[in-house]
Amino acid sequence: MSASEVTAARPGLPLAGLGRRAGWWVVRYGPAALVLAAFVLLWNWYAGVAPGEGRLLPTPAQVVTALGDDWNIIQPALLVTLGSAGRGLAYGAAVAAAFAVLAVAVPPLRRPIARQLTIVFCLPLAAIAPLLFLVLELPGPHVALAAISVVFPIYISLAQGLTARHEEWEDLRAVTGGGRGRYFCSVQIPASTRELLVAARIALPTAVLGTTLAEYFGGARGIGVLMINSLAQLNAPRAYALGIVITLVCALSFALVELVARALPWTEELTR
Amino acid sequence: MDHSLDIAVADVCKTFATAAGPVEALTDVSFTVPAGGFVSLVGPSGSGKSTLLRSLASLETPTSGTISLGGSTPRQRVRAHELGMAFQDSALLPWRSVQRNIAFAREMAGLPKDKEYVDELIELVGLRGFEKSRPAQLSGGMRQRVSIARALVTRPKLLLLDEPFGALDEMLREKLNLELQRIWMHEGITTVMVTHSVAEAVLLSDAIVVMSARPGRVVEIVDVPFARPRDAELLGSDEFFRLCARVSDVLRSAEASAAPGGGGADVGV
Repeated sequence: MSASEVTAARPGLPLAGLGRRAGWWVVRYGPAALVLAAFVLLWNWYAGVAPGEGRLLPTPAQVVTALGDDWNIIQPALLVTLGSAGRGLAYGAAVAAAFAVLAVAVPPLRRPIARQLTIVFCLPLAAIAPLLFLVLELPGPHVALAAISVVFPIYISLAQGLTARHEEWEDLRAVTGGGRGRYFCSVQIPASTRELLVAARIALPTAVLGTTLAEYFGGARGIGVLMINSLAQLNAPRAYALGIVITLVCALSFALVELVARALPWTEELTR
Repeated sequence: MDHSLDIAVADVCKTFATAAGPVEALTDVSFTVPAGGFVSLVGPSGSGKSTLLRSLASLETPTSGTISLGGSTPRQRVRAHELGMAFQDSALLPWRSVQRNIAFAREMAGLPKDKEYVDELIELVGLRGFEKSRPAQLSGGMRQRVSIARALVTRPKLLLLDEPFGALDEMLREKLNLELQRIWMHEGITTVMVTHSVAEAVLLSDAIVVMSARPGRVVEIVDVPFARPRDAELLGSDEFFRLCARVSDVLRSAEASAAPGGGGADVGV
């Protein structure tokens, strides 16, 4: 008896199908929804008993209200922050790509480059930020901090992808008498798409957080500036609303990379 | 066939340096292949047949001895883009379609695009209708066909096949063997194939170079006299079985003489 005969014998098939579908949704998203609900309830309870009468910790409802009421202030700030983060990401990616190509072209430089970049990456961004304000005009520091924070993760992923050995493809290159430059462009670069996606997953949120942090230290506009001001004015609901906005932006960037990855299904076949 | 290369391998030795000391992969290997001929290399693992094939492709350099491909070295032939090679694991680029995977070898070699020839090869290997498919959407057998078409697309003068059907089941292998014979007769290219399958070697070859392991050396060169085109009927004939049995006997005796221990005490059981 085939599978279709089994299901056909069951009465109320459409509903059963719907039930199975709903079951799938519960299994897939249920745990996450439960955790989120528990978190919001706990937050709501603690905001009620915490000291400060809501000035330090607003309730979730207050935060959502602030998000709606202040959207006309938050939205332009968000655009400024995203603009700086985007420019920083572009500069950082360019620098990382240049280092990665250098590491490919001159293998003895691989270790020193990785070491130097690790040291730069390990410097606390908060320590660099004030220095940047001394040497750069606004919004230069916001852009620079985003760039600095993404160079290392992008470089590590790119260098790994671009120096990976694909022995059979290299044999193929050798047998066809092909040049290394052509091989690099036609094989090595597309073959590092997986690593490129990993780099994007890390770098996109990191750039936004880097810019926000730089805006903490000074600036005319931006989410970080607005956050500092809100805290100074004891406007906790707005400060928390800004935190939620930044979190959502980072989650969105993750989803965006996921969408790109799905459009390139063959990246899954590059595991070897 | 006049544009194909004849092969002369003379006294080729290859020693690999390993952590456990030098390993002799090939010892005094000599054989010749006439232009347009089809020769198979068979032998147990460790007999150096892959090393030999890779030496023909200039992917390995012999420690001593010479390899002449139509009077030139393998390296010179590679520089002139005159070799085509198909690998055991088809080694296709997963992001490219069938069409673009085949064209890839021309692209690598820096040869001008030849869309018509790519289409002709797709027809020849029986992949019409799959031009736009990606490797992941193809079966193992289809991937090997793409790999063979890619090896042919540069119009090579020597075709090297490294166990091209090694990962396929018996029935499919037989089918592709007959197709390979058809392609080879159509193109008239000198072909050297490494294989584990005695039946495959007997079906396709003009001559079979039987090798033994540790060290890798040529034990015997068996001529295959059957007329072409050889078909499924031949596969069931007594003469075909007899020749397969003979090649297997040579292989067995080669393996026995190279048995681990080396003292020869277990020979003749």
